[in-house]
Amino acid sequence: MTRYLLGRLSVFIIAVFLLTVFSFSLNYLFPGDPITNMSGIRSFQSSYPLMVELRGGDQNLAIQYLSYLQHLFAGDWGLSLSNGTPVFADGIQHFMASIELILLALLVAVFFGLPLGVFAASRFRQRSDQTVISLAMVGYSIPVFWLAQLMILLFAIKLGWFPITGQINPLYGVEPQTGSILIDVFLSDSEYKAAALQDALNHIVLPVIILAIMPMMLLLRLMRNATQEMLQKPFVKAARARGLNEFRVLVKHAIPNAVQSVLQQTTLIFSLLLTNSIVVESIFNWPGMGNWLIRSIFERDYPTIQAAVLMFAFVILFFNLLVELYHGWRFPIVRHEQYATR
Amino acid sequence: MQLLDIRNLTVEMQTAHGIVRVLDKVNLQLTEGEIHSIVGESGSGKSLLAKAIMGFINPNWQVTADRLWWNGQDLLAMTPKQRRKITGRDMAMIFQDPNAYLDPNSTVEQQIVEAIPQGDVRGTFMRRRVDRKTRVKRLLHRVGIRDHESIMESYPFELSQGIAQKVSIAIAIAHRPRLLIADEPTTAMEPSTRLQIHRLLARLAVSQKMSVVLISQDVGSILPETKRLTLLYCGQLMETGPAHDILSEPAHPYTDSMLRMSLQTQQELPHKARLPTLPGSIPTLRHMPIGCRLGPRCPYAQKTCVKAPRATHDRQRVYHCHFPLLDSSS
Amino acid sequence: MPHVNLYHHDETPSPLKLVWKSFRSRFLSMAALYVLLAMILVVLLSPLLTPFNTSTQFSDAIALPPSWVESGNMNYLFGTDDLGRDMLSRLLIGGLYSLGLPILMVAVSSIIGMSIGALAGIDRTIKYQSLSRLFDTLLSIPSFLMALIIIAILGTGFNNVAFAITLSLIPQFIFVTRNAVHEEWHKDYVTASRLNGCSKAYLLYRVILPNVTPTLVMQLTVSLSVAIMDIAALSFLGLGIQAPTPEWGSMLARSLDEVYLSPWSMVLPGITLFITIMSINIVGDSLRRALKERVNS
Repeated sequence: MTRYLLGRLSVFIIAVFLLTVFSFSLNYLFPGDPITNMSGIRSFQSSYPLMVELRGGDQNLAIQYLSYLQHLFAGDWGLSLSNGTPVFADGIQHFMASIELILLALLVAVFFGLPLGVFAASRFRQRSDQTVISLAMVGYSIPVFWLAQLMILLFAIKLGWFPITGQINPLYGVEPQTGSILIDVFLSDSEYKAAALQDALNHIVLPVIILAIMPMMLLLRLMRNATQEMLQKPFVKAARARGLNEFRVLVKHAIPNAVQSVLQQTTLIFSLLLTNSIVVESIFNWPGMGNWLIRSIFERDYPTIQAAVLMFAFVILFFNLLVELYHGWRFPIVRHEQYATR
Repeated sequence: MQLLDIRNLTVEMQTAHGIVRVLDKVNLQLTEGEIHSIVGESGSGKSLLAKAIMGFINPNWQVTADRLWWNGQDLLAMTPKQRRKITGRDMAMIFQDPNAYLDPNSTVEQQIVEAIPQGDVRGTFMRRRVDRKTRVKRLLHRVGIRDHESIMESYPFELSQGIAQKVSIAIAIAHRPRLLIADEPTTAMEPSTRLQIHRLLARLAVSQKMSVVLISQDVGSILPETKRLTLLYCGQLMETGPAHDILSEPAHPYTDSMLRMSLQTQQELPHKARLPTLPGSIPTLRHMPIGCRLGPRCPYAQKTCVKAPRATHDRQRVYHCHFPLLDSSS
Repeated sequence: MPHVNLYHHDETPSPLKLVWKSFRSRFLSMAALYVLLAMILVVLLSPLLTPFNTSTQFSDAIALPPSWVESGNMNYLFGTDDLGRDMLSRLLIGGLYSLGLPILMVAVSSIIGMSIGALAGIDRTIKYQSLSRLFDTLLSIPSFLMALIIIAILGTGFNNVAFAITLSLIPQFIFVTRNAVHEEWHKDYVTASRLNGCSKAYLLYRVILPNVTPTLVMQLTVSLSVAIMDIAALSFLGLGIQAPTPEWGSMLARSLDEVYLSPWSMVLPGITLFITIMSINIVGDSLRRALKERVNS
């Protein structure tokens, strides 16, 4: 396990290193002055010469990169070109808002996707399986923005159940502190906490459901196929021959092994989730990373674009690291296959 | 009374080219505590016979029998649930590739514990845990694994084939079955491991009063303790009877050729002589001969062989042949 | 002499044929394939089929519902949008950008990606394992995000968007091809051919390629649906194909404002996009299924 852990961590660290190299080179790839792209200080501003000195603008690339790293880890990610606020502080709030949305959607997806997949597999090629799997195909194929439009039309406009933009009604006066709205409501000193919480929940339901549907359907299909495959393995037959009942065979033998094979595909689910979160956040005007990124691309706000990209990539790498570590810890055969150690 | 009594068991398989009989009127009788070997080449239906006894044959295949009795109970008349209960309680099976038949993601201990019947362990939660652990240890010792500590924590992919087979035997005997079916348990193993497993099976049959059905590919690799022997060819029963009689004096041409082919039972063969094998090859499922299926390959075959031979009962043994090598009058 | 089949001859179909046979036997997969082919045909012929110019605004027919509705007009089969432009023409021409362009992009990126992947798959000179691990990790960055970055660098515009999505699709192809080739390379039949002294090129084209083709075709369908989704999503966000040009995603984007007046302007492009993506997904899924059946049999 130690070796597995170290291997994974070192790959993660190298990947993060490459990521910083990439984001550093973005400063040169983006149109305009690299120092401006890094710091958000324009060349006609009075502090510009100081910035050039600080960031090593007159020295070679290696030194520039090092000072870039220094600033990066110190949390000094420059100022936004559009409104002059510090990017890092802004970013954290957007980051938390996104993570809240994504985690909730992931939870919903796992909570419904996995059991439904197992259910479909246990009814393999029967009518209920066919129904579930066809629905999953439909759900997986609906473009997320169209789905969002339809849901908004139905639930928000026709039925009027849910609001369609933002995190919370501004009348509640909940100051954004962490960015995650549910935590913010708890932290706020508002007199109407319960009402504010309800309002926040009302705001979050629709985006979470819309965001969850595609990963859920993907997960369902992956899980169904994996479980079905496991149910035909010899060891399941042997377990049945031992007289174990079907439920026990499923829970003890088929599901853990199926989960193991599904976990290998988590990258797919994460990237789907993140891609869709960008779209969903834009539609619902959710103050998350995706919305932030899209807006900054429109505004050519390069320090912000860079920060958003960096955060997105980091989230993915980190999530994947966590999943891989869990995978290796729970299923020793994974470690065995990769390193032949225990 | 017979523990297992099978009369005219027939399994029919639906293929793209019509129905094929993969087991054709096979009989098998088994008494308590005896070792019974089933020998046949690949495609003879020996594994299928085992699966038919255990009851996990593809549900689309047709299984019929005049009698498929276990301990006086008709297995075919039961609901799948009842049958699974009986199979789980009284029978166990081990397979050729033990690693594939163990769950790769749970430890040996977990898998053996799972096979120990719930009723065996009593007492409080902690008591039961300790009790289970000692039982697992005892089972491992019984199958000849001394190093129980490390084996218990191992995962199947960490075990060698021989150990894995012993573990699967331990799982099989955990609920003290009355019948253990071993489907070519040693085919891909080294000779020394094979010997160990064979000895273990023979010992268990005696000490646990357990019947063992051992399935193997050639006559040479059956256990010396084998009481009765059955030879199958292409789903048809060729000969069955006490092992000693059959081995010393084969009645069926097929038995005879199997004995000659087997290197272990081989007598002196002249220098550079050809190995006495039957001409031709095993027919495919699609091209099963009519009558006696050995017909086209049998050196003694005549016109009448296109009709399936009736069973000839000769003292304890039974053979299906028009022209037996044994003079039945003697 | 009439042809008499005296002996039953067993034919052993090639792996590719087996996959095709099992693919063909399912109604749903064939239906999806036909729908997809019909879509592609219509899109290719769209300049000939469109009844009107896509940007002509008919001032006498603003926000006209589709022809099957009472107040509809047969001249405008699918109705018109809020500026009086014919929906049918816009959908057809939009297909060129929403379906035709992705096909082109996938074609280009697959050629590049598969060649690199195949070379990487048979190259054993580098320390394979650690590098591939790292590569896998970097591949977890979604293609949509990569396309966004490239657009941020280059700016929006038709060419840039096409380039960005093409580029962002390549890594997936490299990855899948390399893994497939690598997996086959270690199988015994390839070792046997290698011991027979086959050259690397022969091994790649004659020995390995037939066995990885279905996997690659499957990846093509996956990438195609990703490309369609990506370009539609980009256009929806206003970063892709720009406004007057009809594209299903951008048509959807402007429909939200007018959904009360003309719901069909939202429903029609959405359904077209949905059917396209679903038929591609079904084809890919059936292929995967057929592949599995072949391996199992």
